[in-house]
Amino acid sequence: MIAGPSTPIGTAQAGERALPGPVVLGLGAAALAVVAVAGLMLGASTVSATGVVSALTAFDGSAEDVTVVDVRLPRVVVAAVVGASLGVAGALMQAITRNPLAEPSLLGVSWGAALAAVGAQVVAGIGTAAALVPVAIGGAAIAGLLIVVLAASGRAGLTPERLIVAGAAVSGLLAALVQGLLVLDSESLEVARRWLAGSLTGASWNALGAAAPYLAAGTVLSAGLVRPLSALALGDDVARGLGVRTGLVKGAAAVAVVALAGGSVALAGPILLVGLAVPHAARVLVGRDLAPLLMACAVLGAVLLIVSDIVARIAVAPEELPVGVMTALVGAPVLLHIARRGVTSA
Amino acid sequence: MIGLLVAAATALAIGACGEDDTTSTQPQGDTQPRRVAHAMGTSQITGTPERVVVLDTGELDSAVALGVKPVGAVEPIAAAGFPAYLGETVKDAKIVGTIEQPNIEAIAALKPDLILSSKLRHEAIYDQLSRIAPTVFTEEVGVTWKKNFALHGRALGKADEARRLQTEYETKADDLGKELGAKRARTAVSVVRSVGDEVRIYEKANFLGTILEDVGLPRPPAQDNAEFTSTATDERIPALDGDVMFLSRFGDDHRLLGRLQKNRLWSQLGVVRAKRVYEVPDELWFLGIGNLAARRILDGLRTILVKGQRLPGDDGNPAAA
Amino acid sequence: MISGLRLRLLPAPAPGAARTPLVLVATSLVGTAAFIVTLGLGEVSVAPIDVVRALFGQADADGAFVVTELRLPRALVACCVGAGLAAAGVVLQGLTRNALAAPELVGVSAGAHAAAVVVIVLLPDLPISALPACAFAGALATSGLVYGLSWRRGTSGSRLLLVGISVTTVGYAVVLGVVSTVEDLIHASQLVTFMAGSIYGRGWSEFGAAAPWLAVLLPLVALSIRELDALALGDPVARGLGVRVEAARLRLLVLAAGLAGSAVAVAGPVGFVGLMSPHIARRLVGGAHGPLLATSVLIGATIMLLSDALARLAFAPIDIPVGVVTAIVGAPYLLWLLVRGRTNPE
Repeated sequence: MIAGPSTPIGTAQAGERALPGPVVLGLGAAALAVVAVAGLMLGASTVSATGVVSALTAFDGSAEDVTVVDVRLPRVVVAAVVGASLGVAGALMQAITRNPLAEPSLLGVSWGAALAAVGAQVVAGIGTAAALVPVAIGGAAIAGLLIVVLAASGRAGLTPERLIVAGAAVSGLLAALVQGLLVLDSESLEVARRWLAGSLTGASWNALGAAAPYLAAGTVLSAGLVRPLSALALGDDVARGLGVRTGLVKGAAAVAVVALAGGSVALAGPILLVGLAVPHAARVLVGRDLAPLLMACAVLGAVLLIVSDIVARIAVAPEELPVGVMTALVGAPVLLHIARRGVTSA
Repeated sequence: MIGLLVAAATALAIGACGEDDTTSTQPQGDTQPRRVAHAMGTSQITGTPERVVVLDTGELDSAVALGVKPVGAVEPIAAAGFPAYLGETVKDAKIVGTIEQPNIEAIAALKPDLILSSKLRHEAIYDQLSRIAPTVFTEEVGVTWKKNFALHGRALGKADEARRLQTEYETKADDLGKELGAKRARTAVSVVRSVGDEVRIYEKANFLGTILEDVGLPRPPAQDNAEFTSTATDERIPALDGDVMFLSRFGDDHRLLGRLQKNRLWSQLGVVRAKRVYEVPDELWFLGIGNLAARRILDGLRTILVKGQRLPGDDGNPAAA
Repeated sequence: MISGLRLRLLPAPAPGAARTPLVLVATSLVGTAAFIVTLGLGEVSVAPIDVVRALFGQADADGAFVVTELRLPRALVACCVGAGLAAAGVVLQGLTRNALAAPELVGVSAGAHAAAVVVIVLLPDLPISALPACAFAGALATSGLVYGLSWRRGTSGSRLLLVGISVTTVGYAVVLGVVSTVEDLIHASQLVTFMAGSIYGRGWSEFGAAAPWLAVLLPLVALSIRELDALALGDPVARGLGVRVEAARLRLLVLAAGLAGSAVAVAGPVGFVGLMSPHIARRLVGGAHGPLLATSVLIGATIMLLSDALARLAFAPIDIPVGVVTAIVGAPYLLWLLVRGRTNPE
């Protein structure tokens, strides 16, 4: 097998799908509903399932209802949205780089967004969600560009390993800079926890509203790119033969990734490894066909993050763990598994 | 020789207990070298130190309370400056870093003759500091402020003055308690502090907690624990309730507090409905951690609880950022 | 498996060897100059000649106190950390035949860091002299894991890196999780600074904790030079030369864990020094491990001295963590290597 891209990601291969797409998606949606309700039930105090339902349908201003609706509901929704966005972003990155290891936090995209956001807060005192979102997206864009340019330079070109090395170097640098800024401006540990591993405390409708346009744009763009990306998975030459403008498609996919990852980081900080674990699991469940894959990534990402957040909230109550700690503990074995099987066999 | 050893041992034993009245045998404003026992051992101090460097806000308060102008002090966080309530006395003190990271070279450059801090904060750099000058460390900060003040007094050669000021504080607290009388039973005090993006509930084992206890003011059930602080989250808003709330802010960007205040549960709190949320100056009520701040806080408590007035800077609108 | 990023090393041919004495002298001089100059920099400027006088015990020299009591122990700690990390890098790169095997990239530093943090939190009264042993144990655990998981039928450079990144991510998550549960806010923020790699306030006790480890381990590595040279030629050749390959690798791994462990115990996970030093040294003296080790150690110490000076002075009176400085210097260096294809010496 020659150097470079491996078995393409995204092509449907006969007999590879474990379960029919609609079945998996149905199951996924059910799982999502279950964990979402669990997220509303569990916390500093446990609310019964009927209590949750009554809070949502017949709100009566009691402490329990306010907890469910004002505190936990936005948090669960943001978790779902961020998880879905990161899952899809990971799948997109893996499709355009043809590398099963590409994902926002490993390749420094999340850290670029985090650095921009922390920098804006520490240096310029910008703190509102509305202002931080475009800043984070800008950071994500710059970091992503940097990595691609660097990994693609030189005679060897953009191979999976070079991409990972570039990603490790850039992530390491950006993470160190984030840590440096946090040390210089260390008022509270909450800020540090958020920006070192991601945290969903403080999830609010305001912030979600500020990030929503970008996340929506990224999602719409991804949906529109399904067919060209599937063609691209067959190889650049084949795709061109099919009339696909490969450069444009890759560029558009990169824009979608930046919007999704940047918006997610603005909401919750640089959550680790979600974009790696989720596409991997989704691929096992629905195969490589890109349309069901992206949908499965969205659903699985949402489920993963809601569950991680529940654990983060109750594991060491009344303290909270950063949600990124949970996702790292889930994502690292996936990374390990991929590493052991070999990078070039996705 | 044996006599010296016995004297040293006695001093150590007594110093370790931190009792004030045991030092009454020492002459006032002593000028001969004395050994002061503290959390990291014993230090030999001669006379009344004049070039004092303090590495925390409690030590700064002690110095100013005892009439000593420190030559160097740390800021709570970078670029924050010294607490304003300390006034002109600290105007000329050189900033030698932050509480978290004092700049050891800057301290050395001042050629101090005494350095004050605590084991809790700066144990790791004790060795280096003690090479620069006699360094006296208290064990902890905050809840142990009275013991700390006595130790600072001994280190600064003003043990008697420290005792006098402490008695003044105690009398004042007693008097305030008596003035409030039976009203105290209906004045459960909730203490809430927003530190950047965190909101903390201050329970009983902290500086302000001891002052409230000295005045005889009860705490609401959720805060009636011998703990330092607990974290307030969106789900714990009911724990913030009381008959009176003292609310304070440190740093910038109080996003969590803003969010909590917009929460419906906040407006349902008894203390909010009764409009008894009082904003208090953070640098005095939380950073002061010393005898001077304690006496001023008693004044503030009097203004709020006896005279029923708000402190300057409190416009009665806690939701304003 | 041949890939765009070929990670097999061969010792460079003879020309490097002839330069060795010259290079050693030059790097020693540069290192010594760096030592003396940085000892003179700070709140109080001390002229180099006065620094030398102070070091030779002339207490009346200007700024003698600051030089000998405050800066000297910190500079010595910097040298120990730099030397330890550089030596660990040399050993790891030699035993894996992988140009990117630095302690922080293959999980060794992460294990040391996680172990150190857990011990600091659970046993706060443990003296600093015991910490390197704990860090060593952690480093050993993770290196064993990485070694076991990536050693399948010979080396695979990318697999090693990926397994290393996985383990490092888990270590990072463990540290963040532990820091989040620390109730004492003061200690928690000290741990966050430690995470970034810092030698603020390090003095004679830290030097006394790390130096014995170096004093024992560096000679042991020196004794293994022949084995490292043999391993570099490939397993069959090494066996032919009479080296017991598996035993040698295991022993070298233990040495690397000890070296990195002592450095991390004292300074936290300082990045890029263990990567850059062997690389720079190799370009100067070639791949023969004798000169390589000596030169790397000198370069590592020099890099740490200069980085720490920058860390102390850039934002005086505030110290920034030295790990941030090494990242700012090291990451571009790694990326430059990538761009120039220098991770592929053939």
